[in-house]
Amino acid sequence: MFKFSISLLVFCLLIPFKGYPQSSLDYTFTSDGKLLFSEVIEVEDSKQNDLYSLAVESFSADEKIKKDSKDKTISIAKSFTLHDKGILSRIPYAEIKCQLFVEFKDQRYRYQLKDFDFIPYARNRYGKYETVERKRKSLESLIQSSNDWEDQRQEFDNWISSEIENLVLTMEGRLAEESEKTVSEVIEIKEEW
Amino acid sequence: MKIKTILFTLSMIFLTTVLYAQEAEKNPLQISGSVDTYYKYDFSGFESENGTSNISTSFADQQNSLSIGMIDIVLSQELGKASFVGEVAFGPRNAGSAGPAGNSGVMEPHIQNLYVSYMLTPELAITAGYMGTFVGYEVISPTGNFNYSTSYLFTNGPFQNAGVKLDYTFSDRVSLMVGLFNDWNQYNDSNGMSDFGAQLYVVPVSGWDVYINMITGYPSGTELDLTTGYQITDDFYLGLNAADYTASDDAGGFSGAALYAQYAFTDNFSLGFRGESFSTKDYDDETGVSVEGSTVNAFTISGNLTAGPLTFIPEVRFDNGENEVFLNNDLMPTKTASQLLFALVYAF
Repeated sequence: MFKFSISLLVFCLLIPFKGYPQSSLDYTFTSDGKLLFSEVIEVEDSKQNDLYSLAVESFSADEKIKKDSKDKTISIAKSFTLHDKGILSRIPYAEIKCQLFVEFKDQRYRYQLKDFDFIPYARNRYGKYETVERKRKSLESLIQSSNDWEDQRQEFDNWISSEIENLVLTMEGRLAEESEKTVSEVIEIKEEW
Repeated sequence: MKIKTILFTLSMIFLTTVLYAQEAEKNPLQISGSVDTYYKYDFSGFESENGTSNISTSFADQQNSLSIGMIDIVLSQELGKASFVGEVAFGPRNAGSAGPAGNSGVMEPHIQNLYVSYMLTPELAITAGYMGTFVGYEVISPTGNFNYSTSYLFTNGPFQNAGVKLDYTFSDRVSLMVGLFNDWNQYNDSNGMSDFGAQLYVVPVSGWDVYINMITGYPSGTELDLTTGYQITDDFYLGLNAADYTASDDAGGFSGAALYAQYAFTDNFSLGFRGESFSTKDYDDETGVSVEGSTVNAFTISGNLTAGPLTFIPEVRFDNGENEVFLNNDLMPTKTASQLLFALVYAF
């Protein structure tokens, strides 16, 4: 009992130290100056149709996705709230909206996080924070022109990293499940039993 | 044995606290607010016994002295479908805005917002409490206005409405609010919660917000109000506020319109113009004497220079009355008044 309590207390003390900030992402821009996060993920022994279907199944439940069954692409609207570190608490600073666009081919798929918009928050007459839609602008203009971006950069980078990780892990997980199903369905009927 | 029990209990308390803190971190209690201070000079030099000068719109009324606005503290939290806001303020700006009848003392705290809200469905919210008014363009908090001095429309309209309301969001572009409220600016209502209010919000095109407001009841009267703003370009914004108010028992009223134009020269510097025409209505007073209404036009130019949470507002204002409603330094009636003002607003 005593050892258990000590162990539990030590465990409790370790919980708050749950991780350290990730390093900053490298930003890449298209030829027309648009921020883009893109990568091709290789998936051995996979068909385009299967990858597409898995993605539709995986993401339809939680989010509104636009799917194109002809071109085998999906598009998901993403949003995230950036916070300002207030004196006594974190308060909403801006909403970032973007598109997650995924294309599928045999043995690979490509994701693109693009079309980033920045919508600032402001406190309304009722004391609540709400987005000021009329001040919506492209995130690129903020990144390139404002020193204030560095204060929010880490939180933004962490969110981008988590979205990419979520996409890749979800696809890997579903592929693994499908693979196990296929294996378990193979039955060898022995003549000599 | 006793030590083991104490240690185990401490562990469980700590574990519960940490787990609760992690949950609360996802929906933290938000603490925000502002402080503001100003200096104003009325060019006529006129100063009343209580230190005020000619232009009698709300707040910023002290002549030729470094004066304070208020310290405003807002607590809010949203957890699941429920949320609350509690906003309390101290200072002359606060004392000039709201509070129950009979309250006195500029340093006494006043509630600016105190309400709870619940999402009955993703589109429908019910809110009850004491809230900043939905009527009008300008607000009490200095962080919500471009100009530091306020308009006549703001001064003569309601500041807060206590009551219960329903907000329905039809889409990103259309929403409707209806509610029952106390008399204007009242925590409690001696003749029952009988004021009816409504607000239609429409976004005709992206960047253009339109609010059509109505509040009616006895003895507060009836006010119809249009508040709209259009972000024409990234740098240029145009706003309009127009209202008509009729007091109960034919006790007069007012009507007016104010145009707001703002241009952002840089991320940190904007210039704004406010042009207002405000008229009071004719009415018969208690003794049956006819009181003629009059008109005053006000022109204000304000700058906003921002440095992070701090905004410096230099402002010049010129008011021109139809009648001689102002006083000059010799205490002689005059039709015009003008003032220079410098304000500092810190939002946190």
